[in-house]
Amino acid sequence: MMMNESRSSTSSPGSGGPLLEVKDLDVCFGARGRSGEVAAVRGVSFGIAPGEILGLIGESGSGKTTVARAVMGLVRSATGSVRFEGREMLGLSERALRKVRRRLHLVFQDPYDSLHPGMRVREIVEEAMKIHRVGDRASREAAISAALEEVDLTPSSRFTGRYPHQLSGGQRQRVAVARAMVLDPALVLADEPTSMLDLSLRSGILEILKRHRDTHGTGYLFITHDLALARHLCDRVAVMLGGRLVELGPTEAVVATPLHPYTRMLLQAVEELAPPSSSRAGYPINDQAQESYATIASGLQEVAPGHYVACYEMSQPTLDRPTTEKEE
Amino acid sequence: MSTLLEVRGLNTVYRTTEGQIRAVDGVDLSVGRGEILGVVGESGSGKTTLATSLMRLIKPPGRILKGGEMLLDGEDLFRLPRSEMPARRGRDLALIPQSAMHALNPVIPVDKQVAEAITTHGEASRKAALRTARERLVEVGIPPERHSAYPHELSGGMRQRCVIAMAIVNEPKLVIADEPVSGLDVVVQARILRLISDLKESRSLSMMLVSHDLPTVTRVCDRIAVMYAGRIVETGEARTVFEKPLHPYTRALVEAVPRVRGPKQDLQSIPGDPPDLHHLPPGCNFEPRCPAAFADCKTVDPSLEEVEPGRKVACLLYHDDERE
Repeated sequence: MMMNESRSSTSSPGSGGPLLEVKDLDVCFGARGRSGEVAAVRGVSFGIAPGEILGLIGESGSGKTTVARAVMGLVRSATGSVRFEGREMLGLSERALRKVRRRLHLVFQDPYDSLHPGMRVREIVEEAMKIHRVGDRASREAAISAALEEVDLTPSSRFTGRYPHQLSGGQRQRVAVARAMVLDPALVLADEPTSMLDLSLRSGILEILKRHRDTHGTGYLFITHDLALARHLCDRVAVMLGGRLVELGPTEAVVATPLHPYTRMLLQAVEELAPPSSSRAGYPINDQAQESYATIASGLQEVAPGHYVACYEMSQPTLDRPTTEKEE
Repeated sequence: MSTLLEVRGLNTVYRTTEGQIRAVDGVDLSVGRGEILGVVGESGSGKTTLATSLMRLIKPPGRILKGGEMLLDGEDLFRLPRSEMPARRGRDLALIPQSAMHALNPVIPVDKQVAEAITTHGEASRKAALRTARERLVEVGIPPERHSAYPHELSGGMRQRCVIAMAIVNEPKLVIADEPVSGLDVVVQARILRLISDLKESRSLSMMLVSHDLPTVTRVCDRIAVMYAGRIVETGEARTVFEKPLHPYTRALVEAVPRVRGPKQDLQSIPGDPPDLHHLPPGCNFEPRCPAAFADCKTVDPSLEEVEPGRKVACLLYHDDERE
């Protein structure tokens, strides 16, 4: 925990961690000749330090997946700056991008769609190494076994010859994680990797991600709509609404002292879905105001160490901010 | 509370290339009038097969074995001829299916679709049906200006509301909802569940709500039945089950729930793989993954026994006293 705190306190939204720096990212999707453009991502800035897990929180359509795709260099219309390990990603040629992608991996939401049904587990995990011409046959075989063991598919020999349809959902997602980890990437972008999994399997995958972070120092951008889940995994969280970041801060601070009205609304929803408990914080909730939050203020302002919010009202010095409760 | 639905000895099997599997294995359950029963289970636990069986919509290679009973208001629907069922569906019992997007016809405005659910059953004129349909749409929170919208013009939450309107429009005795909020954003999930709770109050709706999400179910349901490998392994009053789970599987599920309040605890996962219905262990189905298993669990298949009033569990840990 101490480590996480010191990590996060050095990062600010724009000039964050040296691993990934996203600055003023804009993505527009054009609706050719129709009613103009749709701004999917507007002025998003954040950073990720090595070994840090940043949660990107938001609902469908908030732009969180588009941010991940832009970081991977998959969105041509992205403007602003995405620096990965010091190198600007936007505007790189496909060839140069391919090299960078060795250090950068995606884990998709749906393990039923993201694994090729005609490939065996061995081939699925090996593919990235082949593309990047890593090692020879024997060393690749060893790397496949190691990667599978690391995601608790043991003994690996039991799984290498299987096809995806012979695996359960949890096992498939483990294969997808093993595929992402086999090249030892510096940054993994995980897009709702557990949302399709049953509750009892979810924590297993999260445990694997955490362990991998601890042993390899991998950084993560973890995309989810579930703040409760993010609380258990992420060092910091960034909340997106309508293509903008509206709040960013250490996870415990955001969960204990949410500043932006939208973050409060999300928390309220999560609490409402949670089983009844004695300690409920009742946040005022206004269903209609959701859209206007995004337009109130554009810039993030630091209101507590490392805790940023894009809301005019909440960043006023005269306003009494609730004090952060010590929970640990 | 009087009993509305009473299911006894329901078995649903599927023929597969590797042999026959029992997706629903000797299930007994009941739903009271104005009660919401939550059926909780993970992928492959048989919960959707259970819901589909009660609607009598199981298709080959699946079938419901003879000998089971499904008493709705005292009438055994399993004894009705199959041809009688379409007239009963929607009226006696209605289904809220898993995916609202796929449940709606993409080329018909939603008010017409809801109206069609009424005219299908005869009596009402088209005009009267449309009027009723619009009233129901307002009741579930769709503003009048959206009534003639096509499904693709509505958000996921709105579509789910339309499907709910369609389910209640004929005032069925029982509503069966299969994962009514999965795939929706958290804020929308909370709103749809609020709607279900409101409808329960205003119309004293009787419902069986099937879900993989234990906390959600705890929130809206009066009682819970937990399914594992086709069987009910624990039932009881919803909050009691969540706060004091007895079966080791239920306990593991509760410990896997991430919480946004209170001290941060490590999330527990259940070791091992979900059960393979082709190769179930000879004893308790959960034994291979159970942290509390002992020698007998490998050989004795526990039955669902009442351990407290209104509380049943299928686990040898709680059956010991009785056997002595």
